[in-house]
Amino acid sequence: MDDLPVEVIGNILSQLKAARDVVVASMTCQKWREAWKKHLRALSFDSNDLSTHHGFNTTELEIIITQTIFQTRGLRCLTISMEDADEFSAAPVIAWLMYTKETLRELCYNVRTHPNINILEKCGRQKLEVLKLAHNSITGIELSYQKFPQLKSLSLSFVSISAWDLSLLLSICPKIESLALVSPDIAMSELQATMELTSHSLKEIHVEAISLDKFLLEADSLQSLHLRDCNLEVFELIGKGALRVFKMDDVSIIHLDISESMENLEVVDVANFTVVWPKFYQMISKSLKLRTLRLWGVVLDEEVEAMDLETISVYFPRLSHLALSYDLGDDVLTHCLQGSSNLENVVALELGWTIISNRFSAWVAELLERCPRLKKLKIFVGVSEAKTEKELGMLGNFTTSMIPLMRKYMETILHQRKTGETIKCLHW
Amino acid sequence: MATSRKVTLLSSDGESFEVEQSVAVESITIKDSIEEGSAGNPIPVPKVNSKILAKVIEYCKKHVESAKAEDRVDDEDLVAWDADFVKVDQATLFDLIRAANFLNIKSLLDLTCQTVADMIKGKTPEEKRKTFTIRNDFTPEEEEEVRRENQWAFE
Repeated sequence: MDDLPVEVIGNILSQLKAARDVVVASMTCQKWREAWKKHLRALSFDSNDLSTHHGFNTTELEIIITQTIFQTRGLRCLTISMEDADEFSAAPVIAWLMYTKETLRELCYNVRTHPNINILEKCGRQKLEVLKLAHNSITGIELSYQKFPQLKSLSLSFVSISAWDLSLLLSICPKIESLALVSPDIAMSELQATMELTSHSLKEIHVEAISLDKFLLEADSLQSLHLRDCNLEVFELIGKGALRVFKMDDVSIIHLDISESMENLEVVDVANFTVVWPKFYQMISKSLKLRTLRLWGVVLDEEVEAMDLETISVYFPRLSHLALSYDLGDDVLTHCLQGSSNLENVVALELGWTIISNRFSAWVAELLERCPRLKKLKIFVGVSEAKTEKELGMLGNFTTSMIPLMRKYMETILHQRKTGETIKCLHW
Repeated sequence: MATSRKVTLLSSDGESFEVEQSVAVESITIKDSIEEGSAGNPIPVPKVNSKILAKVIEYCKKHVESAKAEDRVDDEDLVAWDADFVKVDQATLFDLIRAANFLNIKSLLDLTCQTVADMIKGKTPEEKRKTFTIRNDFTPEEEEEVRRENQWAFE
């Protein structure tokens, strides 16, 4: 190990990340000390690593972080992540940001500062590529002199920002590719809660815990859209056919308007999604390249038809992963199972049913028939809290009837939905 | 097409390896020398013996193939493959680090350095010195001073 160049030692220390580990390592020998002082690229102060024996109070943390950062030179990645810290005072935080301004490429910071400082103004903008902020507020974006020319990934969690500033912020990040907004506190200027975001470079967006009257997203290069725990009256997406992944988790959209060709869609994953179903089916019917389709926890009323297997096999010839969980009444079940086309390319199947019933066995059996190349099967079946005799009886019948069918498959897992326990795990 | 061209790499102990150009240029060092036209054929790779060069080529091949693969699900598989790849003895690991550094293959360098970092984590300076046979070249006074600079980390 003696002849390793000091820069490589610096790389090794940078992979350690946790400040305590890096500092202890720096004591090994002179070369490691030099690597620590001159070639350290990444440093992380995480409350999980820091408070092992005794907790440090906020002032002690400020001192430790300051004197540690100031021993390094050329830091590129700085993470300060405190779970329950009160607030750092503004002066040390400003000092850390100014000291690393010239070289910083990644900043993760989740602590409130008192008085509140505008992190975006103080941190190095020229080289920053990744910015993750939480529990801070962002105000007053200035188009004229502020730009983040290299910023590729932006994540804002529990951040206060106005809708206007958020859209301005995107416009000063010409290379941004990934945006994550989690539980933002968005101040609205008009009576209607509207958010309009435009970006030509954005490739993925993740929005969580947001409630709006209108959300307009214009992103020509968008490849991945993921909304979670959102209530949107109107959601408009304007794209140019690059979308590959569409994920909705616990989302309600009253008016969904997508000017996107959907031709390149590969993954549709929706769970607990409230939307106008016929329109949605029509929208994804053009996605010939679809490989993964997951329709989970979908509540269908009598008038709305579930997507039947025939349609699925015709529209999506390349489908390889299929996951369906919706409780079907007898009529809807018959409708779903009509036709006899096989799902030729499906290799993985996930089926769910809220409360065990005999219809479920028929459903599973039929699907297994229609997937000749199936390799992996997962079954999620629920049992009510009461666990009535009848239900347990049905569960017993179900598993017994499944065994000969499942013999063919490499891996079968039976999940008891409520508790999540695996009640039976069959491997072949 | 440029990518289907093959190049020959010559290890320090005289063994030749024929590889696709697309694989060889994972090494910025080799890429630069090909582009500058100063490569020569076969391209000599001093300081890297055949055993290590074979492993480096294996790594580059796997990563070039995975980047082409349509099915992006391979990410997890690649991580598992990488984890297996670095399950080697210490001497080989350091040889791989030296080779990745010399050949300028960032992902391999980061992977191998991460492996060493994982080995270091949680060890005292003395334990580290033992594991990697490093000589302690601090005087007792220097060591005391260094410890005091960052007292908090040792509490």
